[in-house]
Formats: sequence, C-alpha cells, structure tokens
Amino acid sequence: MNKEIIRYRLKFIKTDKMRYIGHLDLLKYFQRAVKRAEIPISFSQGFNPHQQMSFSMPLPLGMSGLSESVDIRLEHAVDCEELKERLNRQMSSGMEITDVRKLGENEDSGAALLAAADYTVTLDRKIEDLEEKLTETALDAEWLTEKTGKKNKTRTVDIKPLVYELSSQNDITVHAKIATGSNANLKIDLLMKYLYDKMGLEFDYLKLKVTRTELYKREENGEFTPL
Amino acid sequence: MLDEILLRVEKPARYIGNEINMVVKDKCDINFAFCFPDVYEVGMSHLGLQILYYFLNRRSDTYCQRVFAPWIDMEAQMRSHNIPLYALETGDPIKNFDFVGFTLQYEMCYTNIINMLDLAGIPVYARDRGEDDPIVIGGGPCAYNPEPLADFFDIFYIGEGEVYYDEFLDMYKQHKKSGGSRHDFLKKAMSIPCMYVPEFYDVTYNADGTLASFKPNCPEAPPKIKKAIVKDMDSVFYPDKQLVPLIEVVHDRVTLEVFRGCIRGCRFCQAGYIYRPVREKNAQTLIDCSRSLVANSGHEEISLSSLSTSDYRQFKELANRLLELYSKDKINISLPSLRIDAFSLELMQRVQEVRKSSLTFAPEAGTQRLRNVINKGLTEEDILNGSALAFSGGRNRVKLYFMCGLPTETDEDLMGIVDLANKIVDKYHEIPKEERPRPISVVASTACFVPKPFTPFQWSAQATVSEFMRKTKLVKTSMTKKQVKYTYHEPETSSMEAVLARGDRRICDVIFRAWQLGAKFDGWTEHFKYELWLKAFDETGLSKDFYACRERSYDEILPWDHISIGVSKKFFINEAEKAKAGEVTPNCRAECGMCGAKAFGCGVCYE
Repeated sequence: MNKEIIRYRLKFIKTDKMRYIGHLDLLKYFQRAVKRAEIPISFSQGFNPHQQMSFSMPLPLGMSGLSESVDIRLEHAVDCEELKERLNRQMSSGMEITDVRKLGENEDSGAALLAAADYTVTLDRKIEDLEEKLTETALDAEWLTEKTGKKNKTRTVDIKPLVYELSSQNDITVHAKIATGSNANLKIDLLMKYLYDKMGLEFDYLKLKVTRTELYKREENGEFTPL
Repeated sequence: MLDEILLRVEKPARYIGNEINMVVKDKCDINFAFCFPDVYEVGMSHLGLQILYYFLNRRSDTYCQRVFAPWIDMEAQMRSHNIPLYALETGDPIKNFDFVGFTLQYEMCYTNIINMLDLAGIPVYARDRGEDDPIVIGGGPCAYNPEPLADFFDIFYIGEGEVYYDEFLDMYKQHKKSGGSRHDFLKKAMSIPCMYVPEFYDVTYNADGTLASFKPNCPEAPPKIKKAIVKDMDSVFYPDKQLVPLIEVVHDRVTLEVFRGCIRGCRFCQAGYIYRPVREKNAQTLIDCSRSLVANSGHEEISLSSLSTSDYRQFKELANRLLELYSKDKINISLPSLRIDAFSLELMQRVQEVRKSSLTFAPEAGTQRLRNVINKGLTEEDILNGSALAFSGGRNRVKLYFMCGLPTETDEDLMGIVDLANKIVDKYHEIPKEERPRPISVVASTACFVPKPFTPFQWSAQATVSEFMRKTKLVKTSMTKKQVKYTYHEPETSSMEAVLARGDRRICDVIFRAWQLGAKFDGWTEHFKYELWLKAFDETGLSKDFYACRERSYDEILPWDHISIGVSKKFFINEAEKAKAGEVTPNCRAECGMCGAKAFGCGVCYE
C-alpha cells in the first residue's frame, strides 16, 4: 500500500534580530522548533536521516522576509491551526508562522513553483524625482550590467526582462517585483546597483533596508499569485 | 547604528541575543553581567555559564545577562562608532550594571578581560573605580590563583557558585538600600568565607623576587579564603532548560553533569585537586534532568560531562537507560573522557552506529616510569589491549595525547612516545591481512607541560621554550613509520600560560602592558603575539623565566597560599616527593590519600 504523502506549506515572517541568522542556521532553528513542538515530522531514509523540510528560497542574511515559505512533510495529519499554534509557541521574537496550508497530493513544492518575489527597499537617502527617473530608465531597451558568476568571471547581462514591476514612493522607497527561483533569478542587490549606477549615485548595499514582502508562483494565464 | 554595523561583521548573530530560552525580565534590583572572556561560540558551549545564568535568574530581584568578547572585527566597529560593550539580553551597556562577573576558564583569556573592561568604559584597575562603577567579580578555575589579576578585580569568588551567591546578592541588596559605600560593601563581603578582596591584603617581596609576606591589612580580611563546594549534587540547582544558540557553536548539545571532581589524582592536573572531593549525581536525577533539557532545547545530542566518565559508579546503568530512552528519537549520546575497555567499546559501537570515530588515549607520558611520576594509571598493556579490541571491532584510527617537558623527563621518555605509537601500528598488523581492509592511522600529539597551582608540580620548573623545541624536534625526527603522524603545540603560548598560572600581583602590570601593546585572544594561535609579551616583560622589568622556569622551594611563600582548596600543602609536598621517587598514589576509591578534602564532609570520602 502506498503511504499518503502529507505535506504542509508554512508561511512565516523573519525580521528584526532574526535577520542576522543565515539560511543554514535558520534550517537548524526550524528543525529544533519542530522537535520542541513535537510535530510528527517525517525523516528521510538513509544513513543520516534528516527532517523532511524544504524552504522555497533562502533569505539572504540581513534581509527581512514577511511572507517566506517552507514545506514540511508529516507522518500523520495535524490540524493546520494547531500546527501553527504549536510552532508559534516555539518561535523567538522576530519569527512568526503566519499561515499553514495542507498541500494537495499533486502540488509541486514551493521551490519548484517559485517564479517571482516582491521587494521593498528603503534607500539610504532621498532621491529627488525618483519616480520620474525610474520611468525614464524603463524606456531603455536593455539594462546591461556586469554580473559576477562562478570562478569570479564577470559577464554582461540584460536584467530588464527579469524586472516585472518597478515603482517608488516618497523618493525614498523602491518596490520591485523581480524574477526569483530556479528558472530565472535576479538578485535585488544587482538591480539596486544598476539603478544607482544609472543615476550616478554612490552605492553601498549595506546601507539599504531590504524586505522581501511576497513570494509568487506563475499561473497558466501568466498571472502571479502568492505561493 | 548597531544594525548597519552588524551587517559588516562576521557572524552577526554573536551579538544579538534572542536565543531560545533566553531570560526576559523587567527592571530588577540587581543587574549582573555574566562575562565570558572569549568569543560567543566558545562561551555558549560552557556548562558553567548555562548553570549560573539560570541559577541567578531564578531570583526575581536579579537579572543576569550575558556578555562575550567581541571578535576583532566587531571590536573595531564598536570602537569606531563609540558603542560601549553591552549585554546581549537588553543591549544595555554593562557599565551601568551592579556586577560585572568574569568566569576565568583559561589563563590565555586574561588580556580579553582587560579589553572588555576597557570597551565597557569601566576603569581597568580596581583602584580607579568609583561609587558608580560596577563591582567586578571573578570566579572559575583560574580564580584559585587570583594574584595575576588581583589589581583588576574587586572580588574573587573561590569555588562553586551555587553555594554563596544567594547570600552575597541578598547582602548587596540590603547594602544598596541602606546606601552604604562600595568600600564598606567589599569589607562586608569578606564575611562570606569564599570571598577574596585583593585590596585588603598587602604583599612584600624579598630581594630575590620571592614573596616576603602576604598579610591582611584590615581586621575583616580572613588570613585564609576557603573554597565553597556543593555538598549534595542531587538537591543542588540544575537548570531544566539550556540557552540554544541561533548559530552553530562549539558544542550544540544537552549537557548532563555526572559528577564533580576526579578520583584519579594525576599529578599535573589542577582540576583533579581543586574540585575535590568527588561528588556524584544519582542516575535517576540525571535521567529526570535529561527529559526536560531535551524537551526544552530540541537538541539532537546529549553529552555526559565529567573529568572521567568511566569512574561514575552508575555509568552502565545511566548509559543503558539513556540509550533506551533516546535512540528512537534519533538523539545521540556523546561520551567524552571514557577509559577504553570492553564495555566502553561496546557502548561506543551502539552509540555511533554509522561513523566509526577514532580511538583516543591520553597516556600523557611515553614510558611507564614517567607515567608513574605523574600518577597516570594507564599502562602500555591497557593501551595495546584496548587498541586490539577496537581493531577487531573494525576501527583503524588511534589518537594519542602526550605532554612533553614533564618533571624528571629524559630523552628516553620522549623516545617512549615513538615506541608506543609504533607498537600500536604493529598491533594492527597482527590482524590477518584480509581482515584489515584499510591501513592504520596513528596520530600522536604532544602538548607542553604547564605547572599549575594546587598540584604536586606547583614548585616545578617549566622547560624553556628552546628546550621544548629540542624535545619536539627529537620526537619528530624519530617518528619514522609512515602510518604515524606527529603534531605538537607551539611552546611560546605554554610558556606564557605558565607565567600567568603561577604569577604574583606584579604580573598584573605585565598583562596590562601586553594588552596596551595589542595582545588579545592569546588563546587563538592566529592572534597570539609572543613578541608583545616579551616586550611587556622587558618594559616592566620583570623576568619571565623567574615565573616559568624556576624551581621553587617548599618553604617559599606561594602567591596562592592564602587560598584554601581543602587539600593540604603537606599532602602536595608528599605527592611531589613520591613523584620524584616514581611512586604512585592509589585513586580515592582504592585508598584514601588523606589529602584533607574529607573535612568537607561529603562525596567519595564517605562512600
């Protein structure tokens, strides 16, 4: 008899002090929280069994995430609300499970589905007429920038097709929806550096406050919907 | 400001607190900064910190917060942005705390203490502190010779923290309410038998540099300060949870303290004397403890902590029950400091089903003669038989720990190290070829012997740096078998360690000067700068060799003579003489050595 595969997708917030732990430490953090909460998690087979847990997209150290996502597999079904509550009792300040949803039998993993992400970037200074400058930039046919790849080789890439939406607010905040995931991926720092360079401004990424606000999959009709 | 800095340093999670089981409190009467003078990952792995943190925080009137030595990159950022040293729980500067307590685990942390006080904006020398400054208190194993740090500390607490901290903090609260001065409080504190306040003692020196006198300078100061120890390990406080770090630290695991002390009496080992007598916890106490610790931490490993786990009388029972309880939950049991015998090998087999770790022996010396001198009960037969057993179980890697420069050591003893390593290789080759698919690997390493206070070798001269170099070179060139790898410690650090371990008050200025010249994280090979220390000695006019390489006489006043660990000087002299004669002393369970620790009225002395 085939065992039913029971999976859940957890959405969570990682912000404040918790921004300073990296992806591998976050994994460990979740594994321990699951243990303390006595969640009936499934383990992988093999010599070194580990919890069946997969994050949709690592969040870079220092960045806040308001709608991050992780899939877990359990040995038996647990009520979604209960799962959320039990895990939230184990979360430190800066971490919160915001939603738990049971996945359908044939649903793909978050990592496989992921197609785009929203970012909100608070700049290190006000830039006069920021919105106009962005609109002007949008008229360029190509956004060519240098990208450092493996073995420290740089190559020129056009990032414009990877930017789906770009807007600003009060000359100090930038919103961007950009390609994210295994198919096409743009890093937010690369986009920000391109924009700063374009405007002839000095760029120090560490001075920007970056928040990833949503992760999306792409529907058949081309529309983006949250994971 | 802190936010931006944190993104510019390595491992920012070292500096944010917010760990699982961190204590959060509102305003408290007493604010205690528990300082560990090394980097976060080392400090967070320390059991004493975990115990005292929850012990102090169980008081509703006290908030104990943690502080670690910021790593070089963070220190630079803090200094350039004028951020004073703060505690992790609240981020409050520790300058405003009532107490700043340092745990003294290792001599090579001393410059970090100076650095942390300076970063905090607290006057480094105790004499420069005023009514508004915190009271700086030291404890832990290195406090047993507090003299090299005496100028920097207001108080030293000698012994185990669980015993007198309540009384001490109650006393402080009362004193604070009545508005008494700092000076008065320090005097009052001396009514607690384990409290040493250096400023109330005067030292004079002879022309040859040895101590001429060491005397209290006020009636409240007792001539002897007595170590405090827990008498009943089953009823003493033990936390039901642990701080679980957000980043990987040296030891990420639940720690069960099985017993304190050691019955063995190895003559080089300070821990074996200062923690006397051996006091065990009952296996049931430990099992109960493990349940809540595992449930509250989510850790995947439980480690048994003691100086010699095989000597625990309920070892088999405890190990079996832990395995029974936790193997189904995929929680590993880690068993450091085991003596290798049939049971421990079988146990290791059951504990580590997959990866066969290497086998570790600590013979400490290469010949039986020298092992008798240091009273290390391990024989060549034990090692070869243990190895043979392990080889037949499929293991093929052996680690051997030795010391070089031990008292009475000759080149013959050093060659014994080579012999022993070779004999283990030969032992492996006794197995029929078809039953040993992989080649054997033996790693022998030597550390440099450092004579420590409160050991029979406290009067011994340490080898000079150049002697150490000659010795290790001799061993290195004699190791000819390709299956044996030899590693050794650099002698310069051990030489400084010997000075700091047995120094007197004049060493304070050397430490301060070395820090001024840039010494910090001296315990880290990549940061230890020997030349700075030599310069500091040069400038203060003191001789390093006077402290490290001089044989002391039994009638000399030792800088730590005013501290009592409950083991008599007479016993140590007797042990030192037996060592010279190559005579062994049986372990505490085999025969009482009349060391004096029976007076504590507990533990192994009454089994």
